Amino acid sequence: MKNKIDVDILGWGGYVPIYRISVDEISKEWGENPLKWRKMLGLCEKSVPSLDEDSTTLAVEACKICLKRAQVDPSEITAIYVGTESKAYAVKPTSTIIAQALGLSPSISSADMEFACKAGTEALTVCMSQVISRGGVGLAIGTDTAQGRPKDPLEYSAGAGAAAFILGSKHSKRESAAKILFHYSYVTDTPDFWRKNGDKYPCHAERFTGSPAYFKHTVNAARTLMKTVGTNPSDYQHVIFHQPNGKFPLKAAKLLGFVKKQLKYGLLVDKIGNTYSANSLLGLVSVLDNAAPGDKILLVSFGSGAGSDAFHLEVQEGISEKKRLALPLEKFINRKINVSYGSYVRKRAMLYV
Amino acid sequence: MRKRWLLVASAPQVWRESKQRYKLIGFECENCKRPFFVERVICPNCKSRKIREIRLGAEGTVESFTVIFNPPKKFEYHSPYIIGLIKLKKGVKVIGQIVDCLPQEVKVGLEVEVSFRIVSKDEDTGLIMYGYKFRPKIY
Amino acid sequence: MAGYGLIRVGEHWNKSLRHLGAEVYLDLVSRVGEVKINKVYVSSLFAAESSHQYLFAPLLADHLGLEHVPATRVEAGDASGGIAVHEAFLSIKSGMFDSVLVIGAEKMTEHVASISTESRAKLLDSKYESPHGLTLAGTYALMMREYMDKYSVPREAFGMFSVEMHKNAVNNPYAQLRFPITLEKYFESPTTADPLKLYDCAPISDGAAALLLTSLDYGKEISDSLVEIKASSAATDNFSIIDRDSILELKSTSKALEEALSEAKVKRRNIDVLEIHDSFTIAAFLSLESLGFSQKGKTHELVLNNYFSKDSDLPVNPGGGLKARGHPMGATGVYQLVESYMQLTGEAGHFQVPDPKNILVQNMGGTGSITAVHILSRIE
Ligand SMILES: [Zn+2]
Repeated sequence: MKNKIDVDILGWGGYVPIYRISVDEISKEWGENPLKWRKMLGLCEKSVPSLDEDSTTLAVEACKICLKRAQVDPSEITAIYVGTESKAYAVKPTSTIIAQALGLSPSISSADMEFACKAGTEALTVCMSQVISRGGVGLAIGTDTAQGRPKDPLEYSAGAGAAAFILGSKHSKRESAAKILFHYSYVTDTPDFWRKNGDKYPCHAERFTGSPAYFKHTVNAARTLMKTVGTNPSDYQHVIFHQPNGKFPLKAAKLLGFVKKQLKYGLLVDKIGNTYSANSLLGLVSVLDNAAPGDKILLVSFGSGAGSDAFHLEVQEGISEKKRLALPLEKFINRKINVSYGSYVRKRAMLYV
Repeated sequence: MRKRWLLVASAPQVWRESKQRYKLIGFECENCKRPFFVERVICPNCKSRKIREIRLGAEGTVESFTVIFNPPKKFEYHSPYIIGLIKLKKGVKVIGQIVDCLPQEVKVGLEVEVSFRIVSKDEDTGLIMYGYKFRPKIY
Repeated sequence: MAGYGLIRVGEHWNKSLRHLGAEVYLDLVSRVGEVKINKVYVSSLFAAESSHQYLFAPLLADHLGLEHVPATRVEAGDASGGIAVHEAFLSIKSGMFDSVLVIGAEKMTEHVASISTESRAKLLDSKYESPHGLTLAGTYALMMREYMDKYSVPREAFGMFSVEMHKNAVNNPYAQLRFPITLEKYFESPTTADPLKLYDCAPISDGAAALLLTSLDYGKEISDSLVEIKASSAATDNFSIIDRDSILELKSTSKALEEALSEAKVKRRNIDVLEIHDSFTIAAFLSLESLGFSQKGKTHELVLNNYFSKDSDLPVNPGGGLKARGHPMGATGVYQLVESYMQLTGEAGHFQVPDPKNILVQNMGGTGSITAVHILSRIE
């Protein structure tokens, strides 16, 4: 088997803010038929950050959970990479704020990544390279408070959340929860979704985001990776796709030959919306919260612009103990306060003009 | 419309205070062991000058709380918001907002834990002061 | 104390801060004439903020035609007035000066309420309290909840205190809120910082008051109505409420009171009238307890039994207090002392208390970070 890598996931953690707005509430505001939107997007509600939350604060909360599981002293971490498309500052790193909040050493490699919704898995791959080439323990984060223009279909799905992973290699000599054994990336120049400099909301090319963008990259990345590893869809207990809505990941699964059961833990979009850079990574958090030693996991992200990262993971014995060390993502998904459209507008700072 | 706030924290201030705000650092007198939260050079109890930093943990209980309906200009869009007088595990008290719950859910004695949030933000320059707030403890 | 000048507390849209200060000076001069003034203390909290003016004291001295007289602004939160008088008292006691003028002047209506709320939040700790959105009212609300919880105090007690203050203010020509309120109206008033209601809080006010302090000898030369400051004391407490062992004890007040009683050599039972700092109803309750005029957690029983009403043996705030006379922060302490002077010299007109001999005045800054206590006595 060529291209085999060996990276350990030492800890994982996910966080979703407490507020939700339902598809029904949004469609009511615009005089639309809620059934139409629920069916079209395959989701019920999305997570909403509060006025005092941003991609930085969500990331810190996810990292706190992740650190508990990894049982790594913050000062031992040697790298931090954050993927987000909703940076708190246009210019000023998010990674350094998180590092300071967690008590990381100043002697670390640190960077913010941007690749639409793929920024989170991009952070993961860079972190993998870092721990393989230089040893040490790295922190990879995907976090977003996604923006959806009022009345745009994205308004129904653009959610908020963060996922964090602490990675190590065999040199770090620590209990592993899962191993990342193969990785493959597939990218092209495809203008399906973008945000102009200075704009608050992104633009997208509607149906063009489908087959030439999402499906082409997702399917290509997944197929190539499975071919490299020498696996078939049926070899995996869990598969996680990027989930911009409830329908795309189901269709991708079908195209590749996966069945619904394999998507059970990794499909969260119907409850929390599209969390962009945290999207597929939160799926991985949920899977790890529920996986058993020996399970095989296929993770495929997608980011507009466009590209997909695919990962082959195998769950290790260490997972059982680590699961108990911190709150599972489910706690944060079930903990919720539903808000009105008016309250949503205020929480998303749309009153500031 | 741009808004100019009166209570805007400066960049040096945000930077200076970040350590305590981010990590809920407290202090302890090396001589009499009195813990406290307000940074001081002299122990309020025994007047010793030997003071060291301590971690105060992330959990506490609500001693008293208020819901602000008439906020300062800067907090207008947050109104109504809840502010708690929180007693941390070491017996040290702090002021902080209580978030992720409705005012009617807050009671004296409620167990809370730290949540990392935007404490305030200068809407003109975009400078953010991050720090501790409190949420009902998640079990 | 040899003379005073006053203007009604209220919304003085057409008067600037310096104008307010000048007007009360002229009022004072109309009573005592153009007297010698060795020094001016100006108490104003928001001069810099609402009127964009530092060096307000020299500016005012110049406007008053007090050529070359030294003038200093005193800032001690809403205790500025009491502390300015304390400083004036000390400067006369030192033997340096015969005649010192204190002018308290404040303009709080210059900006909208939310800006004023933001200004008042600066009376809190700027690192540990106000950055969290805590307001001055919010801090007293924290005290009120703990107080009500701890002592199971019925809400009407606070309401009754407010009703009483409004009743008193009706007869005070210098008061801002000269209208009575009912308990019903109190309960209907909106919540400002839960559990505080609007009628628990002193209003936003403009105002100015002048007080002339002299040595006994010089006072006798210029005035027939002299009042003795038997004691003038001040004390501080832990600045932030998070540093206090109990947020229901106003230690700056109890400490200043203790010193004032021993300095004046009077007992609590010799005090005929109390002028207290009721910026919020809970502040009044805690003040009465910290001054030792009611037991901890028992003030509501006294209030509900009219123990502190104007016609009782121990009237509290016969002019309506901060609640209803109004609370022009930096000037408030001077108002309290001027009204007490009027009581002792029999000049209080419709709000006169019969024949008082000793009056105790408590003026507190912020959340009790500082308190000035004065004991005033009639000169027989
Ligand atoms: Zn000590």
